Amino acid sequence: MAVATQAAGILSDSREAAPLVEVEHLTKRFRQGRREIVALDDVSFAVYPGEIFGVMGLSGAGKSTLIRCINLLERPDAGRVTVAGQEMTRLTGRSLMQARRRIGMIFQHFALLSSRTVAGNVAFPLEIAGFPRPEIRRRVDELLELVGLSDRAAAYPSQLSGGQKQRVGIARALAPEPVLLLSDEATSALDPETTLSVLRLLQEINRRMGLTILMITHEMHVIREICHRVAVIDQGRLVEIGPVAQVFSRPQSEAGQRLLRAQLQEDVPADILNRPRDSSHRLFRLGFLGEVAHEPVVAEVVRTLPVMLNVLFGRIEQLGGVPWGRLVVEISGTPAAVEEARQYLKRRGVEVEEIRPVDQESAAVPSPARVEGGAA
Amino acid sequence: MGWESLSALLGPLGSPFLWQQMTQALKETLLMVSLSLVLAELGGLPLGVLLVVSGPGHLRPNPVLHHVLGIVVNVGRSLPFIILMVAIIPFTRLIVGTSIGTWAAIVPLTVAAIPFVARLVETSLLEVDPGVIEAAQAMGASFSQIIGRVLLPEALPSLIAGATITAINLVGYSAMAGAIGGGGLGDLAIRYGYQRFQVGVMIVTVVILVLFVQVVQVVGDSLARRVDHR
Ligand SMILES: Nc1ncnc2c1ncn2[C@@H]1O[C@H](COP(=O)(O)OP(=O)(O)OP(=O)(O)O)[C@@H](O)[C@H]1O
Ligand SMILES: [Mg+2]
Repeated sequence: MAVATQAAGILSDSREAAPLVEVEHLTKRFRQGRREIVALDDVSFAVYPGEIFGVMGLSGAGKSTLIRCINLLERPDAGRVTVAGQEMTRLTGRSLMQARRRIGMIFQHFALLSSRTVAGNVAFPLEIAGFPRPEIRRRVDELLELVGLSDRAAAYPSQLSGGQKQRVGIARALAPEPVLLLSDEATSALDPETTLSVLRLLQEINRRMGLTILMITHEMHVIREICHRVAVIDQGRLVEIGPVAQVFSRPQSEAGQRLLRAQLQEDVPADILNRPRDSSHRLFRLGFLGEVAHEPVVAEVVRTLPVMLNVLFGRIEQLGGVPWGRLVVEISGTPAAVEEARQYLKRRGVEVEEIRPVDQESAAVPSPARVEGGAA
Repeated sequence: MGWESLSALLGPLGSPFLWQQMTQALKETLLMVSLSLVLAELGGLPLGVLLVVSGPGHLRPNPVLHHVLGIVVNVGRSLPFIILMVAIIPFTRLIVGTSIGTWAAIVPLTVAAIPFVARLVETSLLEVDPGVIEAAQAMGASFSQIIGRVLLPEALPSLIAGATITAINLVGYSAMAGAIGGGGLGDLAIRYGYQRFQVGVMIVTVVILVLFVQVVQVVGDSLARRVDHR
């Protein structure tokens, strides 16, 4: 299949290396009064050097718990976490502190020290690791240059915009030259435009320094924008993992499909999804991934079958480096002809999903917490 | 008010002896307040830090220690100052050698202020964003680095505001301590104004006390503002 080979190609070189992060049978429970919550249930996966790996899931799925178990801010009840050959879950005290210094982390609400200037914040991890002063000064200058904040070195965090604060957070995380960067909803507090610029910065850092990034988010477009591979977690379980193009175009898990449908609702205007329909006027979401995106499949349908095809919505974007076209179409004709058109599209390798009326669908799909502007 | 009564009111204020006493009393108040403030911060700050870090979900949760400290602090805070002052006379003697005078007053003032400071410090430190503490942990900061480089600096404006409140309370307490021979402005106001019916002296002393408190507040506020970058 063209899709699978292309998607795998992106990762072929990194896959040959040993994993940088290995998560094995990770389990974490929380006690809340009488109730016990299983936040993570036997989660296993690996992240390879140089990858941007995304973890997505609905609110409460266990994403934050997962990322906090990687640097042991949360101690798992069972399972093993290994980062760069070091088994984190075995470490305590001083050795854990040392190990954490090799893992950078950025946060949704930035977590900058309000009592320190921008430069002071970036210097913080170097100070606590005991770097000599001149080296600290040199590293801080370099990093502020990298994130484009050299002129704000003496400002305090309260004087910065959200996007600038996150850039400081990134500079701070990179200061001790980590082998891994963890990101817990790092763009969720930012507006769409700022989100995009922060994502571009992370992507540039990944490309230039080969830094491995593990990011969690509930925003699909963040994953779509920069991740190579993605895992979906649902109620503490890892239900799906694969290249972004594959997971996004044909999600296998219930949770993955739900997330994707929620995304679709964000992208497509509601009045389109609400159009009246019956067996001779049906609404479909079409997905063209990879090769099919370049073929005139839609034109063929109209030419060869007695149907009308009305394009209501269309977008082409990149999905983990693979072109991904999406259309919302209304196909009209005799019920038999419409059905035949659907079959034809499917045969040609197009992803076809019928769109049921929104009020039916929204009963099953929790509506997205926030409507984000499209990032494509 | 007749001319005679006014001159009777203001008469004693013409006496150089009285003004000398007032300067002396101001010095004593200054000494009592500043020294007991410093000592109370020295005692209350670590106590407050301990209260916070031993709390649930904090750096070193320790329910027993947290509870015991909380009770000790509450007991210390609920004792009326006069009673505390009398109750710890043996302790005061042990430390200063006497239970009378300005130096002796500093002991109960300090003892009374320590639990007060501890609670204020606790409140200030709890205001520090837990996310920032967690970020420091994620960066591999040690327990003492988190306290010294995160908790205390982040809470500094609030700690200064707390110290200001403590200083002002100490001014009030020091007036009471004056009643048992601690000296100071309060003592002067009581001896001349209350016991000898020299209302003019009392009014002037009270005015000085009010100005004193005002200065403490203004200085405290401006210090707090200067370090506040939140
Ligand atoms: N410290 C805790 N004590 C008790 N329960 C917790 C704790 N932390 C997380 N949980 C529970 O564990 C589950 C997973 O939480 P987690 O924060 O990992 O979700 P999430 O996927 O990050 O959600 P969100 O997108 O809302 O941030 C939730 O049910 C949550 O209530
Ligand atoms: Mg979360």
